[in-house]
Amino acid sequence: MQIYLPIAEMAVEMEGIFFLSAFVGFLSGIFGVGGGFLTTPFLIFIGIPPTVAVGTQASQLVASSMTGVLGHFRRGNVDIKMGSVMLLGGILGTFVGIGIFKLLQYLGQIDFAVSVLYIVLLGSIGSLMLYESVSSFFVKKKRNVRKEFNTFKSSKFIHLLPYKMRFPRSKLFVSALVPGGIGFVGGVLASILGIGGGFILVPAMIYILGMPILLVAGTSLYQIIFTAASATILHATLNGTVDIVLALILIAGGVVGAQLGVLFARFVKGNYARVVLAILIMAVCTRLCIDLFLEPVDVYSYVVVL
Amino acid sequence: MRKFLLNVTLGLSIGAGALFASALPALAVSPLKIDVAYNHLDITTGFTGGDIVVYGKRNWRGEIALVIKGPERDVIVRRKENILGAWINKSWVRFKSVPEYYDFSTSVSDYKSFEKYGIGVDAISFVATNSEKKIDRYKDAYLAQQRARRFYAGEPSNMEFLDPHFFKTRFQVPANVPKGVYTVTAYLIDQGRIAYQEEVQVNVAQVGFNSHVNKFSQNNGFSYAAVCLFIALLSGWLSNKVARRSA
Repeated sequence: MQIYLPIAEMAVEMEGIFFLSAFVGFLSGIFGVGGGFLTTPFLIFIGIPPTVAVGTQASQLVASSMTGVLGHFRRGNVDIKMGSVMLLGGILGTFVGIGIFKLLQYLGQIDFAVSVLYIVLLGSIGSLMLYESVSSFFVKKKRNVRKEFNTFKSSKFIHLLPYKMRFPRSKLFVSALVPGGIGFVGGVLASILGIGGGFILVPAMIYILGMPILLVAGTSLYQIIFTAASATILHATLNGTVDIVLALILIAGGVVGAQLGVLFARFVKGNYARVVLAILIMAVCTRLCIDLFLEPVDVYSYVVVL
Repeated sequence: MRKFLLNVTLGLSIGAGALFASALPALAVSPLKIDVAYNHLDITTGFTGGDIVVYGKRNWRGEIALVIKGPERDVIVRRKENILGAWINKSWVRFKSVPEYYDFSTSVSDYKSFEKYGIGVDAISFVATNSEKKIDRYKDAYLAQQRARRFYAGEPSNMEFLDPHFFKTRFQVPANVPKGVYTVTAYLIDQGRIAYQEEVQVNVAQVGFNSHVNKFSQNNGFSYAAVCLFIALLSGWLSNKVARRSA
């Protein structure tokens, strides 16, 4: 069924977008990944303007992070103090991100910047994931991680930074600039790419901040809600690119898909599934590369100036 | 805009025009009269394109042309160039006040001959506001893309004559048509010049739910964002509730 999107001002095939977001939701149900990094490129492939795809995806991110964080809250796996310092940085990051976004739009380079950033992100995550999952077939790792502690030693430089704060839940005494800075990067990514950036924040929180692994996912989701909310507000007020009808289809599809994914996850062998996800990520990355490096059918494109 | 206003008296009218006019004595008729079937085209949630139907009657000798133009806005046409293997937007040309939609219809089959009167896609004036090499290529690329999107006519729309003087044209508008006030202009071309012209306007706009959403988001972006966030948080919470029950 064709449905007219009031903000994007175009007619789209509703089922197509619903199934797309259900599929991404399904993946996020299985793997616990946000999936924004797949939805946004898919929306762009089917012809939604990148600006609307990014702005609307930010609001979908609020919904999926909300779903995710509640379970972590119940188990007490959220460091609210740490998350709050991160989200202050995150909100600041969204302002900087939206500034960069508007500048790139003005220069006519937003499509280029979005695809290059996606190629870099998807390419590195996809290949790391592929390497890790394939090598796990051959090498059986000893899983001996005590999740309450992080045995990773953060670098000396981190401890020289000022504005040190105590984070009792994480058992850390560290400069507020570190979680704030990590949140800032997340905020910039959320407003330029419409992703939560969990796959960047989580490793950063483990390896740079030295947070207990048990608390990382919940804390990251907790701060993404606020960062994505800030990005949504900025996109809606400054750019006018949040389409509520598109957001509803994405959220509905995501909810249905995620439930199915969670049910299905019991029957999935982790290693094989991760190979499939890695291949999918690489495929999206390849498609973006082709669009960027292959000579386009028409080298001209136009925008209407309002 | 009106170049000439010929008030034609009853005696000058011929054929069907005279028949029609004789029912209305004492009224002066204009040489050419058009109107649209509907003066609005509503973009609803299920909008998949629509028609703008124009009716007209000529009371004077000469050929007829109808032109429908969408709102005029500036466009920036960019050209991608290969930089280190990647295709990146580089040079650009900004054209001033170009119609976002353009279709036309003529009573003659040789519609190219009307270009000298400024009628037809190739007669649209493109004024660049910056200097760039080979500006015509930017213009041609824009025309080709607008034609591909069916925003510009490839061939003129058919003008159907219901009798020798009473005509009808159906302009087809695609689903993603730009919003705004469209102007239909009728030209009467007699002895190598535009003898008379007349305009009618059609408002192409979102209606109902769509228009409310669009207006709300423009007039009050912050509240609009708050509603989006409320829906997102609520559905995220509900989704978690459902998951717990089924687990």
